[in-house]
Amino acid sequence: MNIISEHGFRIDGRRPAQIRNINTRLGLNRNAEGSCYLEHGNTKVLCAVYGPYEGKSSKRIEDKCAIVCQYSATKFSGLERKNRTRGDRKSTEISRLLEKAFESVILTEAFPRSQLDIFCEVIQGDGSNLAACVNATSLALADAGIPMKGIASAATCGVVDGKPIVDLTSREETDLLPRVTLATICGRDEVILVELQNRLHIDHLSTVMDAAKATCADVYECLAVVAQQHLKACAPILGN
Amino acid sequence: MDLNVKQSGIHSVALHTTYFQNRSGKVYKRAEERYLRNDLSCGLAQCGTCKDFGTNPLLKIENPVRNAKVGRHALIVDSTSLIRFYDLFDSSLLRDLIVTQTVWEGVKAKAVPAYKKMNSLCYEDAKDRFHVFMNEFHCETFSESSKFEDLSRGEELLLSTALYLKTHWQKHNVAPVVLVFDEDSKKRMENHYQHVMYLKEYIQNLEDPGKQALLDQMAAYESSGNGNEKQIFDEYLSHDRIMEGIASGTIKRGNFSVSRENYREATVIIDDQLTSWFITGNNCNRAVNGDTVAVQLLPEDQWTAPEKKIRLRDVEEYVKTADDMGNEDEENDDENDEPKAKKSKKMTVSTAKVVGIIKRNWREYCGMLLPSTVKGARRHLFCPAERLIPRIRIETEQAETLSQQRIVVAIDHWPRDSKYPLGHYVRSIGEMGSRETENEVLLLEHDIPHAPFSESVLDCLPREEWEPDLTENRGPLPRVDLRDLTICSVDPLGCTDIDDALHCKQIGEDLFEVGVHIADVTHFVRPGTAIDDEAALRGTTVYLCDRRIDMLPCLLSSNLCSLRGEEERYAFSCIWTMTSSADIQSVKYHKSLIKSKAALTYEKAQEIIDDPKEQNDVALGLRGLMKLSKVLNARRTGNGALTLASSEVRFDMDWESRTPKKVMEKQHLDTHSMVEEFMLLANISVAEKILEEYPDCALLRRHPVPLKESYKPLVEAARHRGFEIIVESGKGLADSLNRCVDKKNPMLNRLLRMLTTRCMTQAVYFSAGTVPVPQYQHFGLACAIYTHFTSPIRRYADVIVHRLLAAAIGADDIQSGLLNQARCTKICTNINYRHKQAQYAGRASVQLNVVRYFKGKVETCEGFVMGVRNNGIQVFVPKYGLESIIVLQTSAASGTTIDVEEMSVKVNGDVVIKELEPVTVRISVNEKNQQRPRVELQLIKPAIPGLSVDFDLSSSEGLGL
Ligand SMILES: [Zn+2]
Repeated sequence: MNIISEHGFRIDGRRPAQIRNINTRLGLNRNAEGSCYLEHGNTKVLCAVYGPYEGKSSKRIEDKCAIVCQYSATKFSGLERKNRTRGDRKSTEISRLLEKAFESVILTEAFPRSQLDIFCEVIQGDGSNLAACVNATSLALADAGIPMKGIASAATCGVVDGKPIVDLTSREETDLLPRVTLATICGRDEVILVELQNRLHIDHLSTVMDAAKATCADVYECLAVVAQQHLKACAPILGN
Repeated sequence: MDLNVKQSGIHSVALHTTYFQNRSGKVYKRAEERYLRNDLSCGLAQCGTCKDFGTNPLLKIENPVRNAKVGRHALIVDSTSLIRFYDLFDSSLLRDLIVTQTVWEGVKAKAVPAYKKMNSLCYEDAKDRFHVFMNEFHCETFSESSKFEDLSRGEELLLSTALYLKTHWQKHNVAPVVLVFDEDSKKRMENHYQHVMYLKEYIQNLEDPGKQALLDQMAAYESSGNGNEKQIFDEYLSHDRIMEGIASGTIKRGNFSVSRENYREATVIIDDQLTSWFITGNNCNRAVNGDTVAVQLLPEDQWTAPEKKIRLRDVEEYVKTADDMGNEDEENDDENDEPKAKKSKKMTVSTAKVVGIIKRNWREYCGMLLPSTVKGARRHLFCPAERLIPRIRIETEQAETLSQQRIVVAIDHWPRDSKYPLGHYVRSIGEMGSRETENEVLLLEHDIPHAPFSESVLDCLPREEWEPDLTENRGPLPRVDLRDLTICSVDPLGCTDIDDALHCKQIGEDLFEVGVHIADVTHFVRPGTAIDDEAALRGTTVYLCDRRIDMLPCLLSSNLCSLRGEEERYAFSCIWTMTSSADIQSVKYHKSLIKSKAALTYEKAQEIIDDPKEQNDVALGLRGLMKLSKVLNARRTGNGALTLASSEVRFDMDWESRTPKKVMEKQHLDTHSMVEEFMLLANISVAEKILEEYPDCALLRRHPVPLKESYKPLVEAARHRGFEIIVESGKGLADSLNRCVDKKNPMLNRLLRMLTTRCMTQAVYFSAGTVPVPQYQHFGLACAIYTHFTSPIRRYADVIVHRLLAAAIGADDIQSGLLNQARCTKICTNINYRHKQAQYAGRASVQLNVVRYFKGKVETCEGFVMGVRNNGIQVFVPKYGLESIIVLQTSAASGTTIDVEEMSVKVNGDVVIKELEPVTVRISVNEKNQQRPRVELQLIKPAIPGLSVDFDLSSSEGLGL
């Protein structure tokens, strides 16, 4: 199976640099301060944000807000039903990555000695799960009205025969394809998260990073529109 | 669902559900998105809507060839037409063709040669005639559900493309014409669309005289008319039934491989445990060697066993006299007269039948026409050079001219009512019997790329007056100047591609520095260049008796890389310090600049070592190397390394006329094993280094431990001679082979070693991390890991290993893809294939020259019986490396009987021939058939009364293949 066909298309009909359709709904979960349901094509994630509140003393930091993230996937998120979906090495790693990324996005100094919980659940996983979680969290934080440097957006990018392809599906991820997940703020150059899978040749690094950044900017545009519309809907007073 | 992908070309998203199966047969559902597009071109040059979407070749030239049946038109071909007639589309009479995405995928899945052709036509050679229409991604033509109940899915998709294009092109007045192969399919589609034609019908209506040639090319198909009631073969099961069967385990899939001894028998290996099912006679059901087939086990009462009888087509044809050949109806089905008694209870094996073909492995075959007795006949039988391929029926008007030529033929299809597959003539290679033609056949048949190097490859070469430059570094580790060292090379006489050189010097009390210096090919062959791609494709240099097909162009292989004497050359050095008992103290690797003091032959080196008067540095170095190599050798043998024998011989050629002069006397000198020991040591050291650095992508070489059962022929043969072979371990095997010495039969030991080789599978290249670590071992050499480092001029594996080692020590960049396991595996697959083919080609070349050598000569030689079958014996003539089958006709009257169990031939109860015993044979060339001169063996001693042994079969069909 070729990831890019002889005709230059991917299996789902996209061209190499095209992202999947993004769909969102904000504020689904009324119990949480902020929440967001987000789809990247068939990858579907739900994110809920609680806090900031006075959390456990063990987690407390004197001058800023502690970010605690829990990533998990439903038992039915993959092709096969799994038993264990939380607390395994992979999930813990992703949780830590998300925490690190959002510590540099959220203005944590605004809430000293408090805690903010982020829960990300992958309902259906079809590739680029981590990127989808970053995007959902971004919007959930916006929904909660947490002050941030800007809206973070993320995307994946892989290399096939030296050419970049972006926003990978799970079918495209199965190969030993080198791929990165990258997240930036407001579609600009500031990188808040990089995760690399498989070995990437140094010659391809700049190609991949450029394509990934460009894609983050594309995704950011979509997220920004959503956030603005949501803002208008919630606060009609703000008007224009 | 609202669409917010802000990207051009995407129109909407659909969900597309597929079901698939994993390896263990579990079925999964997968819902995938399908992005439907509105930026896909219809391909019409005049279309304004699509003008920016691609190069639109259709009707760029206004239908230069008119068709009587339709006006302005473009053609949509179906997959069957493409698969069956792909050769036809080379013709420029067929223009304005549309290949839909569905058809493309169909062809790709079903027929590799057709796919290759289609790919090159659409994207290279005939871009101006072909257009690929992406119907499954097009928002107007994608459909998940079916609209026409009477049509198959494939037909429906073709039709929806046609209907869309018809409307789309309305104002341009262009009609899409659907070309189909199948009669029913045409009928069904005509209900819904007006322009449906057979490919043939379309060609017939072309208004151009050139159409006749095309029609001739199509002719092969008519012969399989439906008129013939007599169906020889069973129908294949439907695709769905096969898939069901595979899922439930009643049907297995596997590779169909025909027996070399008996063309009516084949086996299919159905699982990882190498379980094989036996298939015989008509149960082979039109499968051709190499096809991937679906097989089903027969009920146990129909099981049979291999006949243990030699059956080769050419023998049977000679027996029958050539006259029947043109007439297949008179060829009685031998399958029916197989004695039922054979199916006695004893020793039946799992017998199966072919119920379907999953993938054909057909290619183009070289061979010749069989002579036909009917003058001017159109239908002929073609005899492929590869004896595992059946005869192919073709139609041609030019049989007279072709009868003296080697030709290429392709199989088209194999209908149920035909005893032979039907094919067509592709091209002629040349005059039969001429050296060039026969070599060309040999190279084509072994799939050896042998075209002259292309311009782009030659452009990668450095200038001829290249000079080394020590300041030129590719990595942090600098090249070391070793020009002062006394380095020399030892190779066979006449060797021009010298890839290795050695040195040894004493550097302390009981301390030696020993170096192996290998040509630094990767300095010149940079990854990703045309020359690298070409070398990767070729994989190895191929040696024929009278020709060498280089992996790298001559300037590199025989000059700039070759470590010639007294010339400064770049090398990759592996340098050990070791004690006199060959204990390695340290090893270092670096690139170097060397100046070999002498390029010696094995004989010359031996002479220098043996002559006490020689006391210069070269002589001292050689003696040091020799001493150490003996220690290394003793240690290796002690570990259980095997000494194997091969049956290969080499011809001393007369290079003027390129004819074989005599068989080269093989003389084993100590210098042979001296060089070999150090090459082994270098290979092992490098393997350790690269594996340590790159545990998941190092390119290594392993030799699998044979299964105990596979030693059966060896153990049996030795037991008949009164020896015991221990197969529990490599060491046991090596020792027990050493003990098999029969004073009366000095060849016995070598023959047993030959048999041992045959019991084993070949060593293969692989990427570390793809098999469990214990399987990394090299059984024959008795070492835990091994690789190839020492011949980069003629093996591509060594090129990769050089790059890996250079990367590991920092002598070169890590190039893209070098550390990719999947890529490494891909390279290994190719070079394993190329090596095998090169080996076969080399042997075939020897056989070809044996025939040439014996032209007009007769020689009586000693031979050995390598096997006994129900109707003959296999005889091996060591002097010429010739292994042939002598067919014996046993009969009660003559009192001759053959006992396969005891591996002997008896006359009146007395054993006259036994396995591994010497016999005397007379070798000559039978030129009775001008077309097929073959080497003939006649049994001289022991004389078997009443048996004239009239034909042999060298393992070739006269082509030496
Ligand atoms: Zn158009």
